[in-house]
Amino acid sequence: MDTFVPDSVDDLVSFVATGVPLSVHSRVSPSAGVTSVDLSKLSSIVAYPAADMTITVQSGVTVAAIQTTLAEHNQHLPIDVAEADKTFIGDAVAWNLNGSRRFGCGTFRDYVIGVSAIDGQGRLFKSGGQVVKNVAGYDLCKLLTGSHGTLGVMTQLTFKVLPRPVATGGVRLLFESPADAEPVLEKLTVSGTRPTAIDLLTAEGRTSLVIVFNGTEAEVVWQQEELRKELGSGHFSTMTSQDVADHLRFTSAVHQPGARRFIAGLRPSVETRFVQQANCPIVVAHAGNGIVVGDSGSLRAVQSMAEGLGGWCRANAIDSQPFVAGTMSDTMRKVKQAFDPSGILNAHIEL
Amino acid sequence: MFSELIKELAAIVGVNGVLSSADELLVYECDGYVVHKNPPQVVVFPTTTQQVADIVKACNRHRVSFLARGAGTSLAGGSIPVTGGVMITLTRMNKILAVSVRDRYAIVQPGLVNVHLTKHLQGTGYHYAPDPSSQGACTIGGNVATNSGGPHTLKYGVTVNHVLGMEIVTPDGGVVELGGTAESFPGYDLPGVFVGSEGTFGICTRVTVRLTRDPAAWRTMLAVFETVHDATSTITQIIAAGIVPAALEMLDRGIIGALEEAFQFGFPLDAEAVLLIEVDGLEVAVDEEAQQIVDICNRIGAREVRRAATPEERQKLWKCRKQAFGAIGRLAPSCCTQDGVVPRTKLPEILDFIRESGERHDIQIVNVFHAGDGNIHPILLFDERDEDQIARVLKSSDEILSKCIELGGSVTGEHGIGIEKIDFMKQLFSSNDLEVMNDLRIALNPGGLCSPGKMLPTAGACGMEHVQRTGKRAAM
Repeated sequence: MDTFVPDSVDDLVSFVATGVPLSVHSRVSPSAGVTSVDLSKLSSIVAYPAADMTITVQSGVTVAAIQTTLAEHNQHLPIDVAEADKTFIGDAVAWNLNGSRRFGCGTFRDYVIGVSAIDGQGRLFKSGGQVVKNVAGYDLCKLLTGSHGTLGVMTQLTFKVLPRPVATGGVRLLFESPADAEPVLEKLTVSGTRPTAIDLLTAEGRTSLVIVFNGTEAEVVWQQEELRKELGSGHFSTMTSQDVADHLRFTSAVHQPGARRFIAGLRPSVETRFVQQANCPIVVAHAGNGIVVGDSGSLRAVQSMAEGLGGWCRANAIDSQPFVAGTMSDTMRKVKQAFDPSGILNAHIEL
Repeated sequence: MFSELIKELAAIVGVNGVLSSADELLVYECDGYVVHKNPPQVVVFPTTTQQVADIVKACNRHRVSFLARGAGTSLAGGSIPVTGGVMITLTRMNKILAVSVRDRYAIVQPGLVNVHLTKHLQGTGYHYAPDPSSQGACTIGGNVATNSGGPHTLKYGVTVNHVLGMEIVTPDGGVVELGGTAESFPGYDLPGVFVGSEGTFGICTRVTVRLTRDPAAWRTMLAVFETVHDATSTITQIIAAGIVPAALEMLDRGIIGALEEAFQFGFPLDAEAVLLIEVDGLEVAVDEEAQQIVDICNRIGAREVRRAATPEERQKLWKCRKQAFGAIGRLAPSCCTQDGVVPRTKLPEILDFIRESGERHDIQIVNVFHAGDGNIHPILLFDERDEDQIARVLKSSDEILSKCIELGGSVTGEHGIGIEKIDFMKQLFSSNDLEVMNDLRIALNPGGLCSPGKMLPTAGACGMEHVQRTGKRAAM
């Protein structure tokens, strides 16, 4: 497979305009005859007006490099991305990577305020801008986020960013089974606390629930105590900021593609039932959002179970593993046609 | 042609669901943007998705343009039928279909008034976060069309951040589901791009919205300043200090006077500007955050910082803020509200520019806006019977929006492009940008009958829709 490494956006525009089939922002190996685009040289932080709480970067900057830059002004993008030092921001946005903190902080869809990209006809276009509130024109940022690189090659992105919380902490509860966690999850919907993450985990036959808090020291401590009062002290332990960091690293890793890995979305109220029935060796369920990632020996069975509960499920596979894709809707097909009429962008990826 | 279509529409919705006499149609000739007016040929009031689909199919058969309308509170002409045709008014589709606190969503019809959802949720511990100032009148379908914001979107996000899914009647009369009650449906984020598309991709007939936990505690403050510059500097300092209040609003002297006359809240009439600031969160932390803000206000030179002592006082403050546009009626017969956005550090510069522009064109401009987002709302006061005043208002408006672009901002933060700001699209976007957007519109609205003449310039690149606008400008 050939690889093209553009030195500049102009280089990339010229290359895309040739109309050769491309693989870009891709986490799935393309077939033969497709040129892979390596964005590593588009690695500039274009602008960081910290006082405006926005940052503009080229798409080949790593997520870790952005977080390091933001940390200088005590700011961050509160999105969990595994292997952040190896993951380009363009790829992270194209795959809408996220993790535990999506409950309290949202996903890239909530932070991308501007994008520049090249469509399948070689047109360099932008949407949004540099300001945090903007409804001029169609919001193509939303379309490109999570499009798996099938609508455009992103060259530049602008994000709104947030102040870093002063303190982080959490609590961990242990259960006999996922179903046993349901009453606690129900109580959490009206808890006096305001969690940043609520994760149900099963591994090696053990079930635990991790609840993460961000804020001032006083807020974190108060919430840990409040939850102990609300839930009773049972199998309850507090987590330090280091414990939470380890937890977030673990859950992000489970979001990474794997041979038997899946990702599903359900209504939170049916999530414990799904986890119980799926009986997978490893599961991380973002219980406030209904998002479940894990491993299963039978992706089709898990997909059918999720769909039976009114949700969705896809394989999060690597390389040539079967990708349990859904049927692309007619509306999506029209959108794809508008951006990439010749189908040169990531033709190997099914949505 | 229309008499036949009107008969068909009456057969779909019943005779009580159709308006077609000239005096009845006059009500629908404009929305909150009164500068441009044009009535539709007929207004229909469907009550079901099927009726909307049938209406759209009838319009397609007769090759007549159509557009959806909610409460008609658009400030950018989003619900003006620039080519006439059929107006599909959704206010009779105003039910709350489902609420799930456990799953944090509500499913509503598009004609539901925004505040009715939050009122319905009272006592559950949840609310619907987007709170446009017009929330007592505007509908959630309209909010979806324009991606509406509001004071509390500073912390909680705009409409698109709270929409999980929707049912759409497509421009050819089909019915499709986008997203749903689960998050992050695979494939393209179609709800994400449909929100804010100003009705040009179809008609939203049902919305699934995310519910937000009520804040456990709040502190609401009113900081009084001797100069506008001090107030705007305070805003940039608060944001630069890494504080994200729940809301951060500015009101200048012109609007304070009108509000005081209307509500007798006790606003300081001699102050040049006040900031309405709210922080929310856990009881254990809100005082500390409020104090940080008070310290910044005092450091910049606030004359005083008052705190709302009771929930009633807080509610009254917000009522004053949200009904500011109504109070404008005390100042002038007509007004035109702009909706530019600048990076938050540029607020002092744009407010200075607005004052100079008003002086230059001899137009009184008052300001009440979402300062924390950098989303300005200069309100230009005029009398629509005076053609010269209108010309000066339009000139000043154009200057202000051009300045927003020059400062790295945008021409609309929450009102939409509508017809009002359509000419600015070429200033804000390149021909490539507009071509790509136009290709998307052609893909999803190939006949161009659905809400024509909105958002994208009509005479841009090859293939862009050409719309002959009819109607009249105010006073002409």
